[in-house]
Amino acid sequence: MGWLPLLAGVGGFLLVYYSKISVPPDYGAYLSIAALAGLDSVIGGARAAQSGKFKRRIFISGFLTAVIVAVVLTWFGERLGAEIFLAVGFVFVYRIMQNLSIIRWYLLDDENPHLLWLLGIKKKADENEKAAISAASEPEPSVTV
Amino acid sequence: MDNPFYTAVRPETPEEVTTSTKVPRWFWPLTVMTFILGSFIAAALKTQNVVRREMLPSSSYSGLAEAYVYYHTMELQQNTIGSLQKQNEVLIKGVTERSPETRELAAQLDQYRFLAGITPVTGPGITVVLKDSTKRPPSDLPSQISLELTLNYIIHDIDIERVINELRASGAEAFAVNDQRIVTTSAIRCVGPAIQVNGVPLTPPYVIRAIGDPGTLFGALALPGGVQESLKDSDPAMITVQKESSLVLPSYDGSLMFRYCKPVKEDASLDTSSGSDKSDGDSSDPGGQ
Repeated sequence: MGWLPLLAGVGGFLLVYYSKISVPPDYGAYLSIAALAGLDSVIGGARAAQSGKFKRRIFISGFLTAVIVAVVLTWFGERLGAEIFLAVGFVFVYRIMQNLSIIRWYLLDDENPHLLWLLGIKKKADENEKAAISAASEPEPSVTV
Repeated sequence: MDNPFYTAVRPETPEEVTTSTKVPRWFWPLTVMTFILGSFIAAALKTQNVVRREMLPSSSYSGLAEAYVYYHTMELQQNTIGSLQKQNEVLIKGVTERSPETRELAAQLDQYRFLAGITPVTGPGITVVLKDSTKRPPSDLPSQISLELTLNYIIHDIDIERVINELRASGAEAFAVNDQRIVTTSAIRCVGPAIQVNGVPLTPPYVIRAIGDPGTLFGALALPGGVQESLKDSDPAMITVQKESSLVLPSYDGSLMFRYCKPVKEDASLDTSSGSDKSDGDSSDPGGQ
């Protein structure tokens, strides 16, 4: 069932892309950095879901603050004449790649083949418990949410 | 289960533990946020497309700025020309009212200005509207042929010229194309997609107004072998002719500067054949030998 959020993402994309909604071109840069912030937050949420550590409050607040902070920093940088959005983008991309590697670690791990679980091949009851055990026993790359 | 790590990481709330029959805790927030994220990305992509299409690369700015300045200067200068001409008229009027001789001269001057086309004129006449056809050659032709055929469905400068020529031959006395008055030095030229008359680019539909006898002019255009017939062969909508009982043609407001053409000096031994350059020296030259 992990693919359903992906489907929702694609659905949201298609819905807005082929609609008449349009944003004034002056705000294009802000929208791009906000999209990047949202992407980082969502992938972080997916990683948290993989490890069973998902907290709804943290995820939603993280999403909102990431987007707001990204836009504010970009705007601020534009006022100062310093292209701060480059640094913001760098940070988000870095975190995206790190979270993706963690997700990959979870999916392909020997003890806990989450990939099989996602594909629905293996159904595991209490898999959060198992994940907690394996997370305790094996080194897990850490990242701050 | 005595593993301290296990206790630390085990989720506190019972809802965290899910089985396959219940929706996991992360499901709805993640799905909704991914949906929102997808719409963000779509909006950002769309905006980028618009930005790329509409906003100019900064390298064109200087060229555009220059063009804008030239255009603006040209407008100002044209206004100056207009106001100077008006002043000119007022001053001439003031001078010429002084005595009967000057009034006579002023009347002659007005007459010549009228003939030169620098005054507005009115009279009965005819209106000819030329516009491009919406028809195109059938699409199953090879591209070269259809390209050639497409030329038939567009109004060219020679079409306007031929109309004016035919009307002139039938006694029309004054012409205007889209409110550009035709004078002796008026040229009708095709420049790219627009036709220039008096150097002013005009876009279709081209409205040719001519002052003359409406019946004669109408009949002249309808003669077989003329412009009307050939345009109507392509598409009857390309040309429409209408008689008018009263037309007003604006004056020519460009500059009439003759740089090469000079008036011939009037004197007693005038012989018009000796005044001009002639490469063949066959004419007799009794006067200035």
